[in-house]
Amino acid sequence: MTAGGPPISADGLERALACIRPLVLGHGGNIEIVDVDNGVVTVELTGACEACPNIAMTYAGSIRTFLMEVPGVMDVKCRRMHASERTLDRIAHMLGARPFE
Amino acid sequence: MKDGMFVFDAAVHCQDFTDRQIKPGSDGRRVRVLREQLKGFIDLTARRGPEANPGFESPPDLDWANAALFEKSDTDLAMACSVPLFAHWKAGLGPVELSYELAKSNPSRILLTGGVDPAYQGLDYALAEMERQVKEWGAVSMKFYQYQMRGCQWRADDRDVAYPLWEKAIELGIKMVQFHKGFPLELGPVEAFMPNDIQYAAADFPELNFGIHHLGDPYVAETISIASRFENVYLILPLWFNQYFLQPHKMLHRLGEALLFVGSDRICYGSEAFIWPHIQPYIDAWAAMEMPDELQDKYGYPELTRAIKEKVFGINFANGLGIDLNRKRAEFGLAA
Repeated sequence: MTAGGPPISADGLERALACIRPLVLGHGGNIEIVDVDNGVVTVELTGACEACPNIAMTYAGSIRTFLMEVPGVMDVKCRRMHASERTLDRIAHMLGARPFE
Repeated sequence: MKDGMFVFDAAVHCQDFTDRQIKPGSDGRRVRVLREQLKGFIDLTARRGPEANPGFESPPDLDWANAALFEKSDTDLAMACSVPLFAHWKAGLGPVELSYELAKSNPSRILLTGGVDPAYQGLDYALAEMERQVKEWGAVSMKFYQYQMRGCQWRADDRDVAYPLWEKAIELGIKMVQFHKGFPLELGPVEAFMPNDIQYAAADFPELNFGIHHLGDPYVAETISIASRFENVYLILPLWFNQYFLQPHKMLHRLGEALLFVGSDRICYGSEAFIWPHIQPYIDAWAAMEMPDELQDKYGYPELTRAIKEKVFGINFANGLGIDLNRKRAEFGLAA
């Protein structure tokens, strides 16, 4: 579902995940999409990523950036992500990833 | 209610640190040492925070305790928390009997956390006593203090000594068991209170919640790391609030780390009354607390939103215990 935008293609999401997943698998984790609602994609990181102190880097750096490229995706949420938005935005700027603001 | 937020105090105590508690045949040293240690600590926290209770060593008068909680503060619900340290004490450091008397004085507003020790009392006795405290006294949780004296201590991941307790807790319908971790009372060694033994227990009993008190201080990093990895581990904050007034910056760091790595769903407010009897300043402090911009920017700690405050104030502890707060709100005539 997309609010006011193009529909989100399941293939598009899978293609984005195909870019991200090898990076995550290389660290002993995995990623899955647990919800798509009104343009908001919610992902869950599993395995070694579940309680990794660097989960904010993974999320703000690659996961959100790749998924936001999929037409219709307005926002990307990640369960277990507790860092403040200003922190995530700072990380995104440092990494040259998609900014939050 | 504080500004529309339900306040569930996770830890109030009916302690007795008087000489009446010296076990016959004991020289009483450990009772006196604890009293002196605690006096030093509460005097320290009172330098910048709410005044301590000058008669802290005696059990509180029940009417006075109820007034302190429900008339002089915005507390809606409280947990009378036992401390089952028996070895040199006649009835235990925080006797279950006194906790029960407090709970009985106001059963709709004060719940009971019982306590047993499988190493000191023997496993069979501890299991039977758990059942009695739940069935006769209505205990909804159990607290454990895992070091009694030299040669008498136990681990939460001990399959022979501890796992029968967790099986019994599940059988009795208990959703959360709780642990004193870190800061040793009287002369026990601090390493006996490391939180590390919670890991296998939490992994092997995913249907049971494990509450760690005091952030395991001084093992705060270990405690937060463990809670970040096990979704059935809760952080219960008594002493954090009492220490906040003394060391606000350090306490904000600890809380910020916990919120960043564990999240806001398993962190619980507790006042540690009645050693510190002025409860409202803790409630007011939490309601007004902000995470400084500098700590958010430099350390990534989240902003202290109203949603986070409301969860810490009571929703989390109720969830961990399996208590329906909406039903409690309705029972007390409070708006949802």
